[in-house]
Amino acid sequence: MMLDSNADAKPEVRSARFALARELNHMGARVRIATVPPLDGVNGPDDLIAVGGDEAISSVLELAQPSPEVITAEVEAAIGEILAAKPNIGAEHMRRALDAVADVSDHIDRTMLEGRIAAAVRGVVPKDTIVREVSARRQEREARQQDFSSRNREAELRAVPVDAARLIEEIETFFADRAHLPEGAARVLSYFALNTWTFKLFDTVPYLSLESAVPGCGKSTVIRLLDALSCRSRKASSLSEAVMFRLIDAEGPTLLVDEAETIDGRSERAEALRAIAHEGYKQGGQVPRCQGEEHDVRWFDVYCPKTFAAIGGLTGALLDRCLVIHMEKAPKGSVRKSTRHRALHRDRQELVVQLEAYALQSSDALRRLYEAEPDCGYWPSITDREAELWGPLLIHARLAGPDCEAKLIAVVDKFSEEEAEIKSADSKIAKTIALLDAISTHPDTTFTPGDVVPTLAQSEAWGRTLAEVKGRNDDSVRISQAAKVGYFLRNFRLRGKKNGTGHMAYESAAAIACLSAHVPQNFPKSPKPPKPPSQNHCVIQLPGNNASLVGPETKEGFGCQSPESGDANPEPSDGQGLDLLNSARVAVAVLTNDEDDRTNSVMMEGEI
Amino acid sequence: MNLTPVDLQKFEVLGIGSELLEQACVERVTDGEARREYGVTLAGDMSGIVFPYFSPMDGLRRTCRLRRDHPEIERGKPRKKYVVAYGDRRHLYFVPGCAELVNDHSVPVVLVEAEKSALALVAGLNASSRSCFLSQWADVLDGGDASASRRAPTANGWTKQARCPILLSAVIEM
Repeated sequence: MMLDSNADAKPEVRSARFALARELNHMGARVRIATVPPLDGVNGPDDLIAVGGDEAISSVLELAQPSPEVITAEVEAAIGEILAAKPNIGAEHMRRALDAVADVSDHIDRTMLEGRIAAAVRGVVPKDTIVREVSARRQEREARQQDFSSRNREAELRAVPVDAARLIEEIETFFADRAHLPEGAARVLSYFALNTWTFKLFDTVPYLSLESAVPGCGKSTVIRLLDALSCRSRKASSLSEAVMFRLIDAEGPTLLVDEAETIDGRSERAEALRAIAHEGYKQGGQVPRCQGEEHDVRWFDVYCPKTFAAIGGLTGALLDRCLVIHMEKAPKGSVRKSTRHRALHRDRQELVVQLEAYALQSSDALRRLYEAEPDCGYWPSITDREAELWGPLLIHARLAGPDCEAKLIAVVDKFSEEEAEIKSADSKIAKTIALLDAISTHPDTTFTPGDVVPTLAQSEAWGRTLAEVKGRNDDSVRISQAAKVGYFLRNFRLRGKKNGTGHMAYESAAAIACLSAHVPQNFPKSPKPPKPPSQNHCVIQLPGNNASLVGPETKEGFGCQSPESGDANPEPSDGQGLDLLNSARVAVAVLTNDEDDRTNSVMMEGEI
Repeated sequence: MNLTPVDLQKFEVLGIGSELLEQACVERVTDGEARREYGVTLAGDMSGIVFPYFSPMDGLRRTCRLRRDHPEIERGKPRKKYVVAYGDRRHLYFVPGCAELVNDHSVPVVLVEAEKSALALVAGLNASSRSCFLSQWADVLDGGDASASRRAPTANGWTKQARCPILLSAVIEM
């Protein structure tokens, strides 16, 4: 019996169905009730065929259940058949009885009927087997129902009209109306929320860092807003390592971690959480853990979008994987929309349906667009980690249209600059920049860690570290301070040589080139280093033949671009280059653009 | 068959092709034809699409139901959209081609609420989906031994004993 979807809502239809089912059952028919799902625009089976096709109607028939009014009678009949067939009970008898019992929804009724079947087949089939078989049938049925529900939902969502550009604007307004955000942040949040619904299409997923200097700047509010719009969002302020990787593996949620200051700590737990977060921003990111009594190694998938809200923000590698929104207190008297639970629940409904529909309808187009991206990227100016983080969001923008793309690119530029500034405050990066500065100002072509200690001691990044060094006397303090710098330099795998005094000496040019590659690009306050030999003209025509010497390739990053390539600081630096050039130990001769250096260039050619 | 292209398109959306409609003798009637040919003599414009009801036993037309093009509107909702001949009672609607199946006790019967649903169900269950459908339903129905207790329900039995106002059926061949 497959009546219209409103059958349950109409008492007279319900009672008529019951009467008919009872009558048919009395006649010996086996009655099943097939329920047409109450979808938009669907009343009868004909409407369901129009919306969901033949497959939908087949699913409805497959999931037909016995009428509750007659189910007990069916089980009784099945038990009667078993008793009549005894002792020659066939598999068919058992199958029918088990199917009938599995259809009983009430747990107590079901348990009693299982007992009755067990009594009927005592000595032939153990009761455990009956219970297990009934349970397996119910699970299978539930899985089929779940599958059917999701297919129905999919059919519904495919019919929802979605305008991606408008949706992005609406989400942006949703955030902007409810939280005090810096310029461009609402747009970033909009794309982030959008991407949570489709992140599995991409190789990377950006994290979000909500940071503020003091409490009360609205980080938790933004977390609540993201919770309302993100896909399978999970909000947590206290996470253990096990909860984190098991939750991500099981659900692939959007993880919203409030009060994330602890993650940036030095505890074992913080390190474990960080390790998972570091791994989980790339598709296929997994962590191994032992599981079960046999200690089997299992790999847990940890790839998912994550948001961290912390006073003071994040540092290190985790910061590097985040889009950073620096929040400030809202001005007094500013009025925003309510973020209470009920208000959010009400306002989010339509947007979530749109987001779901967008994810379903646009996934193929997004995948094609992503796969067709050239090696240099659709946006060549956005490279490396930035490309990994912003790429997925820009793909959404590109799909939404050129206007959306242009607006997001403007936001990317602004955020990249701000993020570079934030990263520069990170202690290791700040120390690297200070060290770079110190090496640049060092007059010789080689330096020992001890040579740069006096300069570093004046810097903010190193001052405290070096001041805390203790020793028996000044000499031992100086040695310890130099050791600190030496240990730090080891991170960069620089090759040094012991000089005449037995100290490790490094080549300045090589050190500058190496360290430059480790500080953020577009760093707005970076010191102006001397141009290393390779950064000016790289090719010298040797007199007498047509051979040329080619210098090392220009490295990206801190001050290494040639003026022609659009260097932010094209002016020549403070003459350090000349010292390098005059040295016989510089491997490759260099010509500069500056008039004053031309003579030196000639000299160099002569020397060569 | 005199259905208009618009009618055909509406049926096509439900998966009901013109061939099936022709077999079911679904046709468009004017107000005069409805009154003259089908005995639908209620007040108002009776033009619309008629679904004739044929007996699977003798193939004769028993009655019909008419879907009116211009039903009266009451409080924004159409009233008397589907009508039957004056004084008629309810009948079962059997889809075309089920005559030889009604006496086969192993054939599953699907009861739906409207002629369109019955036709759509028959049309929609194409070869592949039908086999899928039947594989699931075989479990339910393979116990259909022709014992005395499994009498085939009759239209009269249903209508009289169940007092159910919604008796329209589609019969699906196994």
